[in-house]
Amino acid sequence: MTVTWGKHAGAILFMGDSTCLGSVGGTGGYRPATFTQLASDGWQARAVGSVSNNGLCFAIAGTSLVDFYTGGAHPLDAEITAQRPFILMLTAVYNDWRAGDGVGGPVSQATVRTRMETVISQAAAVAPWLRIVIPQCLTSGAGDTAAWPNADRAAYAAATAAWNSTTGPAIAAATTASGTPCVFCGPYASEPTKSDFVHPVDTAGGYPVMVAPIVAAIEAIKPR
Amino acid sequence: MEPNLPPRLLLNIPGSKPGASLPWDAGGAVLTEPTYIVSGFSDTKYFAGANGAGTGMIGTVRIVMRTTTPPTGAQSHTIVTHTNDADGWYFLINVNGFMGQVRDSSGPSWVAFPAYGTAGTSYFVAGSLYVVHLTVGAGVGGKVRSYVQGAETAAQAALTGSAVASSASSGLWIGRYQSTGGLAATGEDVVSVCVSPTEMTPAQVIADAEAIMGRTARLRFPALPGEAERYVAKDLVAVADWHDRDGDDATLTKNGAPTVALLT
Repeated sequence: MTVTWGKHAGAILFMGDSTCLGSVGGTGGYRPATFTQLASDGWQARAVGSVSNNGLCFAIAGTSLVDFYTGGAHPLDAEITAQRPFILMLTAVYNDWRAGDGVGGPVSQATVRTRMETVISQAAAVAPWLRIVIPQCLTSGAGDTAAWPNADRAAYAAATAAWNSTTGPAIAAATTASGTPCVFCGPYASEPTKSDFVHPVDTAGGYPVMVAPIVAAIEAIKPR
Repeated sequence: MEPNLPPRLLLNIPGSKPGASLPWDAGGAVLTEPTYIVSGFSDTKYFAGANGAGTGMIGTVRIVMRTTTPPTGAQSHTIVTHTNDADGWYFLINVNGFMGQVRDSSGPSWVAFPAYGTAGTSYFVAGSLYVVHLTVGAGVGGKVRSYVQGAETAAQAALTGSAVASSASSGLWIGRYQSTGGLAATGEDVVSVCVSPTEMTPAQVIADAEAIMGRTARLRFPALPGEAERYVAKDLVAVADWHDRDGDDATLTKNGAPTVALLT
């Protein structure tokens, strides 16, 4: 005879920019469906963050990974100190790798890795109990814009592919080895359909594609 | 996950408390005792310690418990209390979640576990086991924190100048609120309660909870840092009153007939 432990994921901080917000459809992106699926699987969880949208809190870091730890409206350390999440979802997509929207252009894989590791190490220093989930990075959508010219988009597509297959998992493994449990989340069943240069659509094939791997990652990193 | 181990022979260990048995080593494998659970609490069925006995000044309280009938409406189920309304501490469940309070004469410090999902819906799932911690940081500006399954759920700045002073007018009760009667833990079952004057860190709480939840049979309950009191349901199989395994600082007198049953 065995016992059944209640499943409790604790407080989850979704940290990111527009994809974390759920731009541009206005229904919260992958976050509401993530909590619906967690509840369906028998999990208790709550969203924390200084911003509330579609009934779920989260945090906007700024416009690039650099803003997670060097400034922006919600610097990471202050957000974690205030919200004390148990799970940190680092929702960075390909445009977050730059120095800022519309400036900087593509950055090297080494720079991306350094920035992500800086984010993680700072988070772990502020909250040594933290568990980190890194969703697979979204690739670019269609369309040529002044901020996202096609020439840059091709470079990002190549960098993103390398990130999702090599860099992201390697960072998760190294982070776990250093004592902070970390999961790289993916792959998605398919690359989400975009409504613009990066943001998925709200309907099937868009944000919903991200939900199942993210839920699986949460359940893996907090087994009970 | 640590493997679930087969039953072991029960030995009479000289010096052990009534009903207690200790993990022991057999060829390198530490075997464990069966796990029991106490249920059926009500206004007339509970365990009560003498006033002045036990740990009034807490750093950490850990409860391993199960909800069978979640509270509804205005109901509050008090699992553990060591207060007479003027000082002490307690845990209770209501429809909005799980709440703890520490207080002394200067005032209370509440820590309310936030409701999850739909407001007004208790988030403890009936039939499942939970490990709940309440920790208290000493001093004004210290924090009272609550945890479920190792994850912090809420924090509140401690209002008191110290955690909580021990009181000669309150004692540890399990299954019912002490001072005013009522607020019994109907529908809440208790596997073990441990109390320490030492505050555990969040990392310690996680490790502690995971050590307990890593097993699904014949559970183990690691010692809290500085643990002062330990009540394990199994100890009620052989005797009526609930003895503290850590030196028997406070023996809880059985009132009525709470039910003791083998859990795993």
